[in-house]
Amino acid sequence: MAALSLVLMIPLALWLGQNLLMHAWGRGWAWRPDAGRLPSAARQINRVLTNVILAGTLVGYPLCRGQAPTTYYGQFFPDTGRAAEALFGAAAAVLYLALLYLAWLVSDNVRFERRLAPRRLLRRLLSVPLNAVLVALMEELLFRGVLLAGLLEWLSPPAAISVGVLIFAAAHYLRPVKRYWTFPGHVALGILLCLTFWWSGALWLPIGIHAGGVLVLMMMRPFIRYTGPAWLVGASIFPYAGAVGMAALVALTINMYWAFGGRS
Amino acid sequence: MSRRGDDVHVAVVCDPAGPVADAVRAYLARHEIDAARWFAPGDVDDLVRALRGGGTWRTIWPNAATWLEALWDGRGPAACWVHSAVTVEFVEDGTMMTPAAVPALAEAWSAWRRRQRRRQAVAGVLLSLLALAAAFLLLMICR
Repeated sequence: MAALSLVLMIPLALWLGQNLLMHAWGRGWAWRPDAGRLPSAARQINRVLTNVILAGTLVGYPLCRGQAPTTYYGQFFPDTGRAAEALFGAAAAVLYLALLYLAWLVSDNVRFERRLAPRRLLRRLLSVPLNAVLVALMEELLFRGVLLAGLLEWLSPPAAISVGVLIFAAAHYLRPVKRYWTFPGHVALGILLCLTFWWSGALWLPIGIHAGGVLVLMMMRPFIRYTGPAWLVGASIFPYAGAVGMAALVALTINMYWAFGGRS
Repeated sequence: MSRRGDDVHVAVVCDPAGPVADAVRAYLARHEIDAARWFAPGDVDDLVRALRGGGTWRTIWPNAATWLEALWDGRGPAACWVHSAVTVEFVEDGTMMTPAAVPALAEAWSAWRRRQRRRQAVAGVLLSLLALAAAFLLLMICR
């Protein structure tokens, strides 16, 4: 219950922090977090504030339970060769996405074209690997290490996973976004990540899958233009939100069940 | 091209630093156009979004080839360019293609594009299934 409450307080804290900044810069109030309405100086402060809130939640949750953060999160990173699961997960995500992009390229559902100036492109590409690992690490610690682990102590596994998946998917729509039809894709992704955490009993595998996926999507983003129907191939950084992408997530979930399903 | 009222938006599709930019600027000066939004040829999607926002638009292209390239590239539906509130102008003349040919060409392209989209979707589904099967089997074998 503490995990759920703590995670649900994050949007409230983000909203409060952002509105205080907007008020300080004389921009009025907003009903939902939207950093786009802040001036650039305030946006930097908002970014720091967001990271502080997320880090505070990650550190605060184990402390609320009377455990040191290293002890609490350490249980989700078992040693004895299990770290290889992260590489396996990343390789699996890269394999699926690479083959799908190849199929879409051949069938003219995506086109390969450079969309950024060379210098900006190089900077972007160099930052992608580290960003992919950080995004995956932060989201998995929060949504699986805190939220799902807490829910599993309180609810039956199907109920805990359902709530964990819905909150994970909904979290991607806290701020105003261009597309809302991608929600089922986020649900399918959430199911995969929650189940791999539950089956493997560790964060190595979901972090690997998540990081591998983010890595390919962010690397391809400056080169790919979607020309096929969105219902089939998705759009932008959401190829997993189209029919094929969701089928891929289901297939990958079955792969992971075969590999790790009997372990928990 | 007749003069329009002040509420007409003018869009230029041309790289401001490109080789034909000076010719475009001369064209704008000749037609007494003071304010125009410039879009790089790769950013025609942004122009299409602006056209969809409404209003009367006068779109100026360096030549017919630039407009045709955007059309073949599928940047926005062809209907954008034959809308009653949108006109297409070419700075360089001397080609066989004139703005008067735009509606017929756009219509023919739309019909071709509809057929093409069906083929694209069918090929996409078939090749995606192959890709999924390959990835699935590879992972089954590896683990």
